[in-house]
Amino acid sequence: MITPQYVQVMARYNGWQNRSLYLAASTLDDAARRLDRGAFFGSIHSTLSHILLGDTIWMSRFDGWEPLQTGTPDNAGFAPDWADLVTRRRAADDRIIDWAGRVEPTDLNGDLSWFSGAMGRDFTKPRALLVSGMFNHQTHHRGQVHAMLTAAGATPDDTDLPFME
Amino acid sequence: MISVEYCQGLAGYNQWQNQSLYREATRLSDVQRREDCGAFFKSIHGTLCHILCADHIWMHRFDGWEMPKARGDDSPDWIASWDDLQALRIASDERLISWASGLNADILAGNLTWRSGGKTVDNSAAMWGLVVHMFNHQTHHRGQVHAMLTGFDMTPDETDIDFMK
Repeated sequence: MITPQYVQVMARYNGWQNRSLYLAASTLDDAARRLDRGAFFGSIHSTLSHILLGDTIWMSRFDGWEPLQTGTPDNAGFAPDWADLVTRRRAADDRIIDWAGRVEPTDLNGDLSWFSGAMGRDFTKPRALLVSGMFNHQTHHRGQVHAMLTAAGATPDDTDLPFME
Repeated sequence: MISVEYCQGLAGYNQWQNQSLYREATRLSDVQRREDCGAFFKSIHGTLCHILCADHIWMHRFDGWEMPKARGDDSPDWIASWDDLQALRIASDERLISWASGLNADILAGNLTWRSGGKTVDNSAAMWGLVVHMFNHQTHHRGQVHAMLTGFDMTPDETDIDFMK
């Protein structure tokens, strides 16, 4: 359904887009990043923190990242400090690119079963769906962040995949 | 590389998400849908119109759809009437599903050559990467629309691919 090459492209795209959004967000002050602008997770900070949380959960299933501890705060609470969020985002993006470089076709086939703490039950879904779902989840929420950034007067980079260097 | 199944999955996801966003946008007034919320293409109407225009431009290259009169900068103004925009979105989403079901691995593995409006040289790129771009482009801009809709207290459906029925 998807190949390692697809994963490599999307991992690079993720790194590029995060550099762009975090750079743009860094031109705002902390209050502007935490202002509730009516997005699903409220603010720029909270939405970016939610994306990192989602990536961390999925990568624990795809690549053995340390699973979340029970009671880990979600969304804004996952990475409440901006400097810490920036640092963790960079590290996660490097790890996602590293995983993409190692992932084998067989890692992208078949089903993955996991216990969802959020939903309180077991799930089984095709791995390809879940991997593409993680990248789609990033893009969706980055779109929300993008709208909040431009509304706040910040200017993120291009977002089109073919413009990626 | 991606499979035909990936394209079918994303075409279904596209339809589901558009149904959700258009349903919620229809609950707003025309003035609200056209209000400049500070997104890259300013308003809900403008952003949804840009997505549809871009889809038609790519589908012109992928599947011979009629090329829209509007291009980049005027894409948000391509279709002025909300009812017309919604009707064409519904029809286009069906066509996207039909196109995806007729794809094969050879088409996706090939190169696509096209000429952008106003340019004198051809572009050429891997077909599968451009297909991934079209779907990612939809998700990115739908994320902006989602943020504007929730900003108006509207309640779009779930957005995670793995929740798709």
